[in-house]
Amino acid sequence: MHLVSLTPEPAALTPRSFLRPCLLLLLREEPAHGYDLLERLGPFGWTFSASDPGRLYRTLRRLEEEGLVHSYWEPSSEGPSRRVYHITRAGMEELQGSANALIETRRRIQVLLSRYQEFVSLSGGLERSRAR
Amino acid sequence: MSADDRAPWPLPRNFLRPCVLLLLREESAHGYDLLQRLRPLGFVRDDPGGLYRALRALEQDGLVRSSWDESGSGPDRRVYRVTRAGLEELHRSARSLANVREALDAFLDRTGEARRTHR
Repeated sequence: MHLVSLTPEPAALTPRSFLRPCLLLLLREEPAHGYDLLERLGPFGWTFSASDPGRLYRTLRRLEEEGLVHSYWEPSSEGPSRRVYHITRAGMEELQGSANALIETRRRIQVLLSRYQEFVSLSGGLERSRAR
Repeated sequence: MSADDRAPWPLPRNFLRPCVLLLLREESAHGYDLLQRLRPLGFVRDDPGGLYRALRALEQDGLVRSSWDESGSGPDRRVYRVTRAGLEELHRSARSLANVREALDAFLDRTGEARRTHR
């Protein structure tokens, strides 16, 4: 599954490394398989096409190397065993730090959007119709 | 701007582009003016190199056009203005950033940080 953002220009305007705190948040809520994570990322603007889970698993592997996530194999009565991911204490701290930083990211985006909306409403209908 | 790469918060990779397009839509400007006018948008550390690289890329993409200001003086006499294509890019970026803001709200809401953002 290939991760793309819902926006027309995928990575370009998504905050750098936004996938990491999203994964940490989901794992703080509940340990999960990679596949569950793919589905649960939707509300954060990530969506998937069917065949390339690469980026998700690379990110999980890096989080695990950094000690932010821990995984083990869970045996399954049906089918092969699957890897289950947990968040570690260090991961929770990292998540908190990211959340604090992303408040500022959101503020910066809000400042730009407010200025933009101001100019769109000032420049009136012509500009708006041209935008569509 | 590269100064912003060192910021502790992660900005969208191309965040400078819509900022420059918006400022030029508000008023055509010399690079030096833009540097000043970027500050209220949060680019508090001047980085002329980063700005001129961005302007050059925007011009190559046809989103910005520059001309020589004959009446001006001093070394910085190139005036930048946004093109029709640049304006369309600005509108697209604004829609993208509105989606990003929504994603950030969903994220901050679930981390319990929503109360600290100003809606």
